[in-house]
Amino acid sequence: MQMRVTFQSRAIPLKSAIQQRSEDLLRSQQMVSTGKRILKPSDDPIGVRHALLNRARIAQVDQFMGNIELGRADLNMADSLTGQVYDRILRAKELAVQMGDVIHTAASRSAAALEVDALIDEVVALGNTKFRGRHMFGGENTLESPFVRDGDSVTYAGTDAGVVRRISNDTPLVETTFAGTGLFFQNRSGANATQDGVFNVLIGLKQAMEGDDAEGIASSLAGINEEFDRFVAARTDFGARTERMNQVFDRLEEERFQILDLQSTTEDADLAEAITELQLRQTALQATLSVASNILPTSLMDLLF
Amino acid sequence: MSILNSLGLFSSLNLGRRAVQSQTAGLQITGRNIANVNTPGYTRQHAVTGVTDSRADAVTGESFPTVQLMRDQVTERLLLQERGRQGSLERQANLLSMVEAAFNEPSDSGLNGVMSAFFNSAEDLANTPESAGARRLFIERGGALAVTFQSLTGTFETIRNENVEEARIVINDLNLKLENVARLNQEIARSTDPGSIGEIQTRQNQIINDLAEVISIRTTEADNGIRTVTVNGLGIVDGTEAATVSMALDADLMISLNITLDADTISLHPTGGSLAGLMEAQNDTIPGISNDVHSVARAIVDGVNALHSGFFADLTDPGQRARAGAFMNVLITDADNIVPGTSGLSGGNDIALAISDLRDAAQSELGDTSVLGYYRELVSGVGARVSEMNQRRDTSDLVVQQMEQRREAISGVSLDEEAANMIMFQRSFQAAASYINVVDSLLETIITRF
Repeated sequence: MQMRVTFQSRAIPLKSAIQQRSEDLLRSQQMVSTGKRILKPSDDPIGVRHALLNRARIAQVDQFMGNIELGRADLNMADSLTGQVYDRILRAKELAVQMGDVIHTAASRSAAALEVDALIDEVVALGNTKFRGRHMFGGENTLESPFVRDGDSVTYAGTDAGVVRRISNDTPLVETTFAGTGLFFQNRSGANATQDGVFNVLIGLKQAMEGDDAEGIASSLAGINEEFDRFVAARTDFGARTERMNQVFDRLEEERFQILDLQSTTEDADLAEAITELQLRQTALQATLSVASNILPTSLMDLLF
Repeated sequence: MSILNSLGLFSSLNLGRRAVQSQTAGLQITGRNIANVNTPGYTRQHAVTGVTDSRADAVTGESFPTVQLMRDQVTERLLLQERGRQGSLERQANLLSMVEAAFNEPSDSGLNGVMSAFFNSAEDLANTPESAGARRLFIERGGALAVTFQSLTGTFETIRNENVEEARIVINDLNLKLENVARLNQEIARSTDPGSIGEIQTRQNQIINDLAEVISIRTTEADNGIRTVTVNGLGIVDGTEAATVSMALDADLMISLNITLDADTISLHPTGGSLAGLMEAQNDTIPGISNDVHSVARAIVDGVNALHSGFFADLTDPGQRARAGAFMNVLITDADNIVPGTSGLSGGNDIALAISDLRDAAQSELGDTSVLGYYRELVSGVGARVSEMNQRRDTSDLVVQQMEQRREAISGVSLDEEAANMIMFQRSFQAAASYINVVDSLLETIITRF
């Protein structure tokens, strides 16, 4: 049997076609105006998972890169401070070599003792230096001056472990502010008085100079050299840490670049394609509308009456 | 024979009269069809003209055209069923899109971004644990996280509360419609004219079509045109009696339906229709998604509080544990009360680092995925559901459209056809009138010449 075509059977598909075309056009418009391919999860359920992962990872990578920037600044500061301590030890060594010579008088030795005394104060000040509001060599006790000099004794108020930072989620935590322990001294006694460290070596030197003890001055050289080597080693260690951070930073930067690229391919609309599609859809809607306006009124009624 | 011959001319006049009346009746049917060309659910009427001759009247007493309703009951039944499926899918697709929109992903203000920002603030706290600024930021980010969870789960609650209101309105309307169908059944029972039965049925069809979109129904029709409406085999309109549908709610706003007919109350489980779609979303889909969000919130609250006791309000009450997202709340307001490290010293940061570690830590309560990973799968899953639901709805729309066209092909009004019929009846009327004229002049001849 031949299909009967009625007014409604022509109108029903036209109405739904117009609706469909309008929806397509709206979607194209949104894509072009926002530049995004995924505006809601249902636009691409798999893609949205990647989009969320990429966004979360970028947030994390940005944080790690920020952590590294701070850590590098801390390490640079620590390096510069230990360098300055190193200079003071060097000066003390010069004075010890000079004053160890028997030709010097008690007067010149006590003058040198005054200079060593000043050096001790300077090293204490360097050990107490604050960077961005926190003491660099007090361990976890970052807000209190770690070193206090009282005459010929220096006490330590910090802790024995430094403060660590996370620089990525797959490398060990890195210490970027330090404890005085192991650097400025090895052991503590009594009221946290420092033993076997730069302070005690310098104080010993000063006392030998004050006592006009040429032999004592000469024998303190071994201790001075030991401290000298310790600070050189510390600077090497800071350099190695900075280098490790630089490597991780470069890796993160590369990862960030890759993820941004991936994010763009996941979320962003291909504008050339989107605009072409927008025009095609516009044309399709216009065609449907013109079909609707041309075809619908035609009927035998128009011809007979 | 001779009697018939002598009565011939009067009988012929009668024949002419019947012809005129018959064509007028046909024209009336055409008029009715044209008047309803745009009425949805209207069934085209067709004039079937019986054999009309001089003897017909004497033998059958009837020679008028009879009205035939042009219907395909199989298509109509399938259409009702598909309308139910369409209604259910449409409602579910709408509700799911609202749920999807509530997630506000992918964006920086969705939970994905807010959770990342919170964990990053823990890193900042680890970087400068002594800084009041970093502590305050950590508290603020924790607060923003809590607010985002509250607002997301709150939106689900709002949608479900609205659903209850909507269900109430829909059910009221449904009951009115059932009564209307029953009342129209009464009118059909009283009526004898096939044409007017057709008109009543058209009105009834419109109501039944509306009903089918709300609740999955089947209809059966008795020979006298009275319809019975059933849902899952339970009669909700039985002859002239209509059942009353009522809604029951439990403490979790789960909706169930009952019908009452003849003082019997039975629970009703519609398989299709917007009401079934609404119930599916209300009782199953939205609570499922909402529970997943609560699980993520619970994992964060428990994880953070295990490391930093009392940062979030503890979830000790089982009711609060189940709806962790709604009860998430930062208790600490004073930056001094943040303890970033176990040593309690200004530079201690192991607690802050451990909180930041929660970001990637696999949690057994979340199926060994991390909070962010679980959330990602959840959002992707919601997206997949919406997209699948939209596709199924589009398919159903298409099926309904095709069936409507099939119904139209049989029951729809074609103006071309009606125009042709109109001409036909007009010409036939003119012919019958001329015939009467001729018979009349013959009678005049007989009467005046004798």
